[in-house]
Amino acid sequence: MRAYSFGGAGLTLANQAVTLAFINPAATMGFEILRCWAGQTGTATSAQQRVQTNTQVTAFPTLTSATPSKLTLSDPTSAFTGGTAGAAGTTGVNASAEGAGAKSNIISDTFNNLNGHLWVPTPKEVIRLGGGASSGFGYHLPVAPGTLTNWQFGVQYEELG
Amino acid sequence: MLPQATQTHITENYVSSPPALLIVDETGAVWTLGMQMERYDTPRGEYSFPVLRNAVATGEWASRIERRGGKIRVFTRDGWKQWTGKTFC
Repeated sequence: MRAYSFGGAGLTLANQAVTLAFINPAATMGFEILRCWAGQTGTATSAQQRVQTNTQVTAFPTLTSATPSKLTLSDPTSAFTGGTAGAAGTTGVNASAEGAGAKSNIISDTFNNLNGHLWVPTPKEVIRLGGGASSGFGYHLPVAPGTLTNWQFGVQYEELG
Repeated sequence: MLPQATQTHITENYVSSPPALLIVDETGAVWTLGMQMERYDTPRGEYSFPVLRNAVATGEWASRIERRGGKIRVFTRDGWKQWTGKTFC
Protein backbone atom coordinates (compact mmCIF):
# COMPACT_ATOMS: atom_id res chain seq x y z
CA MET A 1 0.00 0.00 0.00
CA ARG A 2 1.46 3.35 -1.02
CA ALA A 3 -0.10 5.85 1.38
CA TYR A 4 0.61 9.55 1.49
CA SER A 5 -0.50 12.54 3.51
CA PHE A 6 -0.80 16.24 2.87
CA GLY A 7 -2.22 19.11 4.87
CA GLY A 8 -1.38 22.24 6.77
CA ALA A 9 -0.79 23.45 10.31
CA GLY A 10 -1.09 26.78 12.04
CA LEU A 11 -2.96 28.20 9.09
CA THR A 12 -5.32 31.17 8.96
CA LEU A 13 -8.44 30.59 6.91
CA ALA A 14 -10.32 33.07 4.78
CA ASN A 15 -13.53 34.34 6.40
CA GLN A 16 -15.77 32.34 4.08
CA ALA A 17 -16.54 28.76 3.14
CA VAL A 18 -13.14 27.13 2.70
CA THR A 19 -11.86 23.99 1.04
CA LEU A 20 -9.26 22.83 3.55
CA ALA A 21 -7.63 20.21 1.35
CA PHE A 22 -8.08 19.26 -2.29
CA ILE A 23 -6.66 16.43 -4.39
CA ASN A 24 -7.35 15.79 -8.05
CA PRO A 25 -6.67 12.44 -9.76
CA ALA A 26 -3.92 12.28 -12.35
CA ALA A 27 -4.61 10.97 -15.84
CA THR A 28 -3.48 7.46 -14.92
CA MET A 29 -3.40 7.60 -11.14
CA GLY A 30 -6.41 7.63 -8.87
CA PHE A 31 -6.65 7.48 -5.10
CA GLU A 32 -8.62 6.17 -2.16
CA ILE A 33 -9.19 8.49 0.78
CA LEU A 34 -8.01 6.88 4.01
CA ARG A 35 -8.77 9.70 6.44
CA CYS A 36 -9.47 13.41 6.72
CA TRP A 37 -8.92 15.46 9.84
CA ALA A 38 -9.26 19.04 11.04
CA GLY A 39 -8.79 20.86 14.32
CA GLN A 40 -7.86 24.23 15.65
CA THR A 41 -6.05 25.86 18.54
CA GLY A 42 -7.16 29.40 17.80
CA THR A 43 -9.87 29.51 20.45
CA ALA A 44 -10.83 27.70 23.64
CA THR A 45 -14.49 28.62 23.21
CA SER A 46 -16.65 25.67 22.28
CA ALA A 47 -18.60 25.90 19.04
CA GLN A 48 -20.06 23.59 16.45
CA GLN A 49 -18.67 23.64 12.93
CA ARG A 50 -20.07 22.13 9.73
CA VAL A 51 -17.80 20.07 7.50
CA GLN A 52 -18.23 18.24 4.20
CA THR A 53 -16.44 15.90 1.89
CA ASN A 54 -17.25 16.57 -1.72
CA THR A 55 -16.13 16.32 -5.31
CA GLN A 56 -15.76 19.35 -7.54
CA VAL A 57 -15.49 19.76 -11.28
CA THR A 58 -13.54 22.53 -12.98
CA ALA A 59 -13.09 25.36 -12.22
CA PHE A 60 -11.27 24.15 -9.11
CA PRO A 61 -10.37 26.08 -5.95
CA THR A 62 -7.38 28.39 -5.70
CA LEU A 63 -5.10 26.75 -3.15
CA THR A 64 -1.79 26.87 -1.39
CA SER A 65 0.48 24.19 -2.78
CA ALA A 66 1.03 21.23 -0.43
CA THR A 67 3.42 18.42 -1.35
CA PRO A 68 2.34 14.97 -0.15
CA SER A 69 4.51 13.19 2.40
CA LYS A 70 5.23 9.49 2.32
CA LEU A 71 3.92 7.45 5.24
CA THR A 72 6.40 4.68 4.46
CA LEU A 73 9.84 6.13 3.82
CA SER A 74 10.85 3.33 1.47
CA ASP A 75 7.95 4.12 -0.86
CA PRO A 76 8.50 6.16 -4.01
CA THR A 77 7.56 9.81 -4.04
CA SER A 78 3.84 10.29 -4.63
CA ALA A 79 2.61 10.63 -8.20
CA PHE A 80 0.76 13.71 -6.95
CA THR A 81 2.57 17.01 -6.60
CA GLY A 82 1.73 20.23 -4.87
CA GLY A 83 -0.30 22.66 -6.94
CA THR A 84 -2.25 25.89 -6.56
CA ALA A 85 -4.96 25.42 -9.19
CA GLY A 86 -6.41 22.07 -8.20
CA ALA A 87 -5.31 20.65 -11.55
CA ALA A 88 -5.12 16.94 -12.31
CA GLY A 89 -2.41 15.18 -10.34
CA THR A 90 -2.01 17.92 -7.75
CA THR A 91 -2.70 18.52 -4.08
CA GLY A 92 -3.32 21.79 -2.27
CA VAL A 93 -4.73 23.26 0.92
CA ASN A 94 -6.46 26.29 2.41
CA ALA A 95 -8.40 27.63 -0.55
CA SER A 96 -8.49 31.38 -0.95
CA ALA A 97 -11.24 31.09 -3.59
CA GLU A 98 -13.60 28.18 -4.10
CA GLY A 99 -13.72 28.18 -7.89
CA ALA A 100 -16.84 28.14 -10.03
CA GLY A 101 -17.03 24.38 -10.46
CA ALA A 102 -20.03 22.64 -9.01
CA LYS A 103 -19.50 20.70 -5.81
CA SER A 104 -21.18 17.35 -5.21
CA ASN A 105 -21.52 16.68 -1.54
CA ILE A 106 -20.60 13.19 -0.35
CA ILE A 107 -20.79 13.42 3.44
CA SER A 108 -22.01 16.29 5.62
CA ASP A 109 -21.07 16.34 9.25
CA THR A 110 -20.67 18.65 12.23
CA PHE A 111 -17.95 18.72 14.83
CA ASN A 112 -17.06 20.55 18.02
CA ASN A 113 -14.15 22.85 17.41
CA LEU A 114 -12.45 21.86 20.67
CA ASN A 115 -12.54 18.18 19.81
CA GLY A 116 -11.72 18.49 16.12
CA HIS A 117 -12.95 16.26 13.31
CA LEU A 118 -11.59 12.94 12.12
CA TRP A 119 -13.24 11.01 9.30
CA VAL A 120 -12.12 7.43 8.88
CA PRO A 121 -14.12 5.16 6.59
CA THR A 122 -15.04 1.63 7.41
CA PRO A 123 -14.05 -0.65 4.53
CA LYS A 124 -17.35 -0.35 2.67
CA GLU A 125 -17.61 3.42 2.84
CA VAL A 126 -14.25 4.34 1.32
CA ILE A 127 -14.14 7.13 -1.25
CA ARG A 128 -12.27 6.36 -4.46
CA LEU A 129 -11.61 8.57 -7.47
CA GLY A 130 -10.14 6.78 -10.48
CA GLY A 131 -7.37 8.03 -12.70
CA GLY A 132 -8.57 10.48 -15.33
CA ALA A 133 -11.68 11.45 -13.38
CA SER A 134 -12.99 14.90 -14.16
CA SER A 135 -13.59 15.69 -10.49
CA GLY A 136 -11.29 16.34 -7.60
CA PHE A 137 -11.90 15.54 -3.95
CA GLY A 138 -12.31 18.32 -1.39
CA TYR A 139 -12.41 18.42 2.40
CA HIS A 140 -14.51 21.48 2.95
CA LEU A 141 -15.91 23.83 5.60
CA PRO A 142 -19.19 25.00 4.03
CA VAL A 143 -19.47 27.95 6.43
CA ALA A 144 -16.76 30.16 7.84
CA PRO A 145 -15.58 28.98 11.25
CA GLY A 146 -15.92 31.17 14.33
CA THR A 147 -12.18 31.36 14.67
CA LEU A 148 -10.00 31.65 11.60
CA THR A 149 -6.55 31.18 13.09
CA ASN A 150 -4.35 28.21 13.91
CA TRP A 151 -6.11 25.50 11.97
CA GLN A 152 -4.58 22.07 11.41
CA PHE A 153 -5.99 19.70 8.82
CA GLY A 154 -5.09 17.17 6.20
CA VAL A 155 -5.98 14.23 4.02
CA GLN A 156 -4.36 10.82 3.90
CA TYR A 157 -4.76 8.80 0.71
CA GLU A 158 -3.62 5.66 -1.02
CA GLU A 159 -2.62 5.75 -4.65
CA LEU A 160 -4.58 3.61 -7.07
CA GLY A 161 -2.72 3.19 -10.32
CA MET B 1 -8.81 30.39 44.58
CA LEU B 2 -6.57 28.34 42.30
CA PRO B 3 -3.28 29.70 41.06
CA GLN B 4 -3.23 30.70 37.42
CA ALA B 5 -2.12 27.98 35.04
CA THR B 6 -2.47 26.91 31.47
CA GLN B 7 -6.12 26.35 30.66
CA THR B 8 -6.94 22.84 29.59
CA HIS B 9 -9.96 21.38 27.90
CA ILE B 10 -11.21 18.05 29.17
CA THR B 11 -13.23 16.20 26.62
CA GLU B 12 -16.83 15.49 27.57
CA ASN B 13 -18.04 12.00 28.31
CA TYR B 14 -19.30 9.89 25.42
CA VAL B 15 -17.05 11.64 22.92
CA SER B 16 -15.45 9.18 20.55
CA SER B 17 -12.54 9.44 18.15
CA PRO B 18 -13.42 9.18 15.31
CA PRO B 19 -15.34 11.43 14.68
CA ALA B 20 -13.49 13.62 17.19
CA LEU B 21 -9.91 14.27 16.20
CA LEU B 22 -8.59 14.00 19.77
CA ILE B 23 -9.67 13.29 23.32
CA VAL B 24 -8.18 14.99 26.38
CA ASP B 25 -8.48 13.24 29.75
CA GLU B 26 -8.32 14.62 33.30
CA THR B 27 -4.56 14.31 33.41
CA GLY B 28 -4.24 16.47 30.32
CA ALA B 29 -3.13 13.53 28.18
CA VAL B 30 -4.14 13.80 24.54
CA TRP B 31 -5.45 10.62 22.93
CA THR B 32 -5.40 10.17 19.17
CA LEU B 33 -5.32 7.45 16.54
CA GLY B 34 -2.02 7.13 14.67
CA MET B 35 -1.51 7.15 10.93
CA GLN B 36 -0.52 3.53 10.35
CA MET B 37 -3.37 1.36 9.16
CA GLU B 38 -3.93 -2.27 9.94
CA ARG B 39 -6.53 -3.18 7.41
CA TYR B 40 -7.32 -6.81 7.83
CA ASP B 41 -6.56 -7.61 11.45
CA THR B 42 -9.23 -5.31 12.76
CA PRO B 43 -12.28 -5.34 15.00
CA ARG B 44 -15.54 -6.09 13.24
CA GLY B 45 -14.42 -5.19 9.77
CA GLU B 46 -13.32 -1.69 10.68
CA TYR B 47 -9.88 -0.29 10.09
CA SER B 48 -7.67 -0.07 13.14
CA PHE B 49 -4.86 2.26 14.05
CA PRO B 50 -2.27 2.56 16.81
CA VAL B 51 -3.58 4.26 19.94
CA LEU B 52 -1.39 7.23 20.82
CA ARG B 53 -1.17 8.93 24.22
CA ASN B 54 0.54 12.29 23.96
CA ALA B 55 1.71 11.15 20.51
CA VAL B 56 3.42 8.07 21.95
CA ALA B 57 2.19 4.63 20.90
CA THR B 58 0.59 2.67 23.74
CA GLY B 59 0.96 -0.65 21.95
CA GLU B 60 -2.77 -1.06 21.38
CA TRP B 61 -4.45 -1.06 17.96
CA ALA B 62 -8.04 0.08 17.93
CA SER B 63 -10.74 1.41 15.66
CA ARG B 64 -11.94 4.04 18.13
CA ILE B 65 -11.12 5.77 21.37
CA GLU B 66 -13.91 6.79 23.70
CA ARG B 67 -14.14 8.71 26.97
CA ARG B 68 -16.91 7.33 29.14
CA GLY B 69 -17.45 7.68 32.87
CA GLY B 70 -14.23 9.61 33.14
CA LYS B 71 -12.29 6.67 31.71
CA ILE B 72 -10.51 6.23 28.41
CA ARG B 73 -11.37 3.05 26.58
CA VAL B 74 -10.54 1.70 23.14
CA PHE B 75 -12.27 -0.78 20.85
CA THR B 76 -9.79 -3.44 19.80
CA ARG B 77 -9.92 -6.78 18.08
CA ASP B 78 -10.38 -8.28 21.53
CA GLY B 79 -13.23 -5.96 22.44
CA TRP B 80 -13.29 -2.90 24.67
CA LYS B 81 -10.24 -2.21 26.82
CA GLN B 82 -9.96 0.46 29.51
CA TRP B 83 -6.94 2.58 30.40
CA THR B 84 -5.77 1.94 33.96
CA GLY B 85 -3.30 4.76 34.05
CA LYS B 86 -0.46 2.56 32.90
CA THR B 87 -1.88 0.13 30.39
CA PHE B 88 -5.09 -1.14 28.79
CA CYS B 89 -6.88 -4.15 30.19
